[in-house]
Amino acid sequence: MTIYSFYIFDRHCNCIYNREFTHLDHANASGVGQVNKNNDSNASKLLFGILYSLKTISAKLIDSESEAETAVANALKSFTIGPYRAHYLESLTRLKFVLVSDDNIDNLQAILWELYSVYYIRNVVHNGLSPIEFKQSDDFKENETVGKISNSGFITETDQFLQSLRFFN
Amino acid sequence: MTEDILDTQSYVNNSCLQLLLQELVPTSIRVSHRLHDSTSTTGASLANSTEPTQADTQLSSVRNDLPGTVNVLESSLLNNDEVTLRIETYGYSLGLKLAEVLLYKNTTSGTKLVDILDIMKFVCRDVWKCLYNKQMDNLRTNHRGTFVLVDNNYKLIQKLNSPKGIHDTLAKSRVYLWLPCGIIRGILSSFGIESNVTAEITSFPAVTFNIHTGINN
Repeated sequence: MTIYSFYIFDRHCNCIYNREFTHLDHANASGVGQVNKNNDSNASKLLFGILYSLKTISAKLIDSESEAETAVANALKSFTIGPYRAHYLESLTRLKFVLVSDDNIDNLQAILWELYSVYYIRNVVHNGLSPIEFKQSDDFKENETVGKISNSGFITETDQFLQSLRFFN
Repeated sequence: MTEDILDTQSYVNNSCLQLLLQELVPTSIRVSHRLHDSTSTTGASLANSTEPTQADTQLSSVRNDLPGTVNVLESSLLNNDEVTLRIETYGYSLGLKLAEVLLYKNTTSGTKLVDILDIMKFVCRDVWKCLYNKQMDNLRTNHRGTFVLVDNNYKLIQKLNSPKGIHDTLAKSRVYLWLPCGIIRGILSSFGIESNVTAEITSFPAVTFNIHTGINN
């Protein structure tokens, strides 16, 4: 059982956090990988596209009494392609949290929820030096750190949390 | 018997208060920019201030200062005296009032604060307890009017973490520290003690407050 990567998309459809874990055979190698390297890559855009489409389709599958009930009953939680499974959680503020794992892990909803409710809230929202709106106008690209979650608190704490999970490797 | 205000008030949500306090520095910078813009002839290109703020409303003349972003902290005015003095003054008047609110309760218990050391203990215990629900971690004095107060985990800056690394975090946190400096100066001032308070970050988020008074004890 393995977790491969972790993405956060904001409500402007931008990938604001991207963490890829490299799993090597020998010990002590966990924790290597890339942070915020592929935010604008095709892979992350395609992943967002799939999720967005699946979410929209799934919302129309079952009709419940009220609109709110429909949204809960039809919420997309994960989907599987080949050996990979993408776990998905969308907050009410339309932040999208995605974990990609192998298909042996059934449900990561609790983990996604913890990433959002504990780590995101603590290190981004309560952090006065971190923006909560990551969308930037195009003429403001000179600064690498803008447009992504790149504060060290968030990165180290989520890394520690994910690597402490028994199914991380 | 009339009910006491301090006993009847309900709690303020801590998250709310912290988020509100975090707006202090950005607001002060924006005020300064607004003042500069209105005095210069070329500036003043801001939208009509009576219009409600939208997600794409420029909050000040700082580039890309939009709601939800922290670009305003990149302003060259961050360490400007005008900005820091405004924050300090805010803390000062808060301190003056806070001393009154905390002391009217104390007078009934019969304890009198005469010695300057007692007053410092009052700052460390009662004031800090009221503001941060904890006490100062250390109090030192050279008995010649200089006091050093240490808070090992200062709440206002504890959660700050800049994407640009620790140096940037420290530089921006320092501006926030003018608020507690002002508060302490205000409290002491309400006891008739003129003082000069500075703060430094020893090892983040520990903060050391250096208080210089003219009083020998």
